Amino acid sequence: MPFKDWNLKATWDAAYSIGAEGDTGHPNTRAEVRLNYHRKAMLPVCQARAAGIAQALGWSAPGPSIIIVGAGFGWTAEALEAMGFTRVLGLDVSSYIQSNKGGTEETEIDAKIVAVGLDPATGEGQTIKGRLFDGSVRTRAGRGVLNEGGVGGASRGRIRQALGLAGNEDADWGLSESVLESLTDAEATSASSVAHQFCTNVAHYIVTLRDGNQPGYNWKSLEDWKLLIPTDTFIEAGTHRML
Amino acid sequence: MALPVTISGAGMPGLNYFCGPFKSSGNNFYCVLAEAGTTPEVYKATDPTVSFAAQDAANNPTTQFQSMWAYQVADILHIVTQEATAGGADVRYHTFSMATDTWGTKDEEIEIPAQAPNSLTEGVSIALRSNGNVIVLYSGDTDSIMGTAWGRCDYARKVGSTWTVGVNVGGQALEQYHVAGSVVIGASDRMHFFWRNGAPADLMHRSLSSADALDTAVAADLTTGGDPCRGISYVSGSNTVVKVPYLDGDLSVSSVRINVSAADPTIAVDTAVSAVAVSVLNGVPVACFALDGTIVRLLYSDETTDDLWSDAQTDGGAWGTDVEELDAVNITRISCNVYDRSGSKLAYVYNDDGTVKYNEKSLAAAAEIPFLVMAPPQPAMWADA
Repeated sequence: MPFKDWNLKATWDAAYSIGAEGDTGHPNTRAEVRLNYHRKAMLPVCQARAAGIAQALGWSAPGPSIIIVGAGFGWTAEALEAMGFTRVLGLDVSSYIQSNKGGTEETEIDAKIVAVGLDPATGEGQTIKGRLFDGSVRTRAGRGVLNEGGVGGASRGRIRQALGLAGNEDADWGLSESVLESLTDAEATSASSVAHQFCTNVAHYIVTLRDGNQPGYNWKSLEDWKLLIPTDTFIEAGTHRML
Repeated sequence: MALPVTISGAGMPGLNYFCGPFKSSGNNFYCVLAEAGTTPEVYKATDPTVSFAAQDAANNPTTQFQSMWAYQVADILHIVTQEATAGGADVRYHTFSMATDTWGTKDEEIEIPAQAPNSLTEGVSIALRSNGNVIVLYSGDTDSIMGTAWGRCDYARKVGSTWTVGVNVGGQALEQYHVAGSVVIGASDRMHFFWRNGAPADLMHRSLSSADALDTAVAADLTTGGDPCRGISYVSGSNTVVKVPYLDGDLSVSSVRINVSAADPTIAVDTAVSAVAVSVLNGVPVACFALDGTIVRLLYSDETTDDLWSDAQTDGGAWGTDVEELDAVNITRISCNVYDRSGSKLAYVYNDDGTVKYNEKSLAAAAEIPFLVMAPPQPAMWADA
């Protein structure tokens, strides 16, 4: 069993809590508006990830064909596309992601603004809402985020088709995005094996063992992940160090 | 009485700090320390070679702090603290009048981080613009990304009575751990922020204009060993020079140097300013800069013996030879300043094996200056006094 159930919104909310007013600050008479796994807060993270991963793996646009496993709402795929990469596909089997990828964040962002004592319809609250919500849907990556796990020929066929690969052609890269930290060692090894069935190279973007890790995950050092799955490439969050 | 003088009952912060000493217009001398190592306390000496005494002790702030930084404007000491209690990291502002020897503002909330930083990564620093606006650099709220807390270096500004807080100088939503920090005022009220990005260990810089515009955050050094500490600035020709010491990757003190304070300045690094590795306390080097005209004075404690050493750099010159100032001591914190007390003195307050002491190094004795070539007063000497 995975350590975390990413089908639940509560799991995402517990893992992600990000100050959303750091660019402007806020009066100290109220708390900062904080978002969870929301686009405005996460896009800078995903842009930094995309740039760091591309540099670490030597990708240059329009680049290789890339499948992102555990893509969430696809913001890293979106960031790669913004960098000029043209063959990027996100996958995520989370029912929370699949149920919400086509909707907006408006209701949730309104609630976050109300939580700090402001009205999203007027005054300061309205201004903040204007900065945090642009009216569009969560998932904007060109090829979307598919509900595919790559297990079985049919699933792999749909993935290849969505990415524009011919026949049994493999993607150049399979990249898991903060996936392995929620899996047992056996599950992580198995996930790697599945990825190798339709990806020539497999890499994993990993938050490593460090101060500030919440309990309940499979935290390891980059070295220990490499030891567990020597065939794959590992990239450390933040430093973009690669093994 | 001979120096050093023990400041009885006082402690010094466990994290980032600047404690003075300071000289008032009334020719008295002050250190901002900790009463029994917990809450802020100001100690005064009319003659620092005799004794220091706590001032307005019945009314001192109640904040228990880890990090504390004091900044002098005329006879007011502006003080910022970051709380030490478990799970808390409250950032608070206080003032003390050296004219009346009384506390003014006490325990004023700047921000109470909702998700407190790791207690060993707290840090505060403070400076004031010429119009009185207060600028505070501090370790703010953490961001949780993929089940992991990442530290933010924030700044706050007080305009009138209003605080705007939580401006993230490191950049929005990063999988990096930023730790405050040291702020130095440059040209035209520009605030130069220096802080550490702990993963990787970069020394970062970003500056804030008097119109509250931030320039670009850049890494000044990619291989630091710890935090920046108290720096200085002075006017050189038509430019304002900013220099800040920090713990380098080889555990020596290096210095960031900005020869022209401006937006997105050119930043140079003078490496290995200290000849040896320095003592470190919770990531903060036991080192401090003080300004002597346009000469930068460094005091530091060496890692091997915890003895006290000094060095100096003239404007545009190189760092000199390290000189041992105190032997057979165990110095774990140091804070220094330059002022005139019967001649120019490098005055310093320090923790020697658990005891806080005040001491001085004579830089130029007034009686020894030939009367026919006596130099005029140098305003820069008071720039940070």
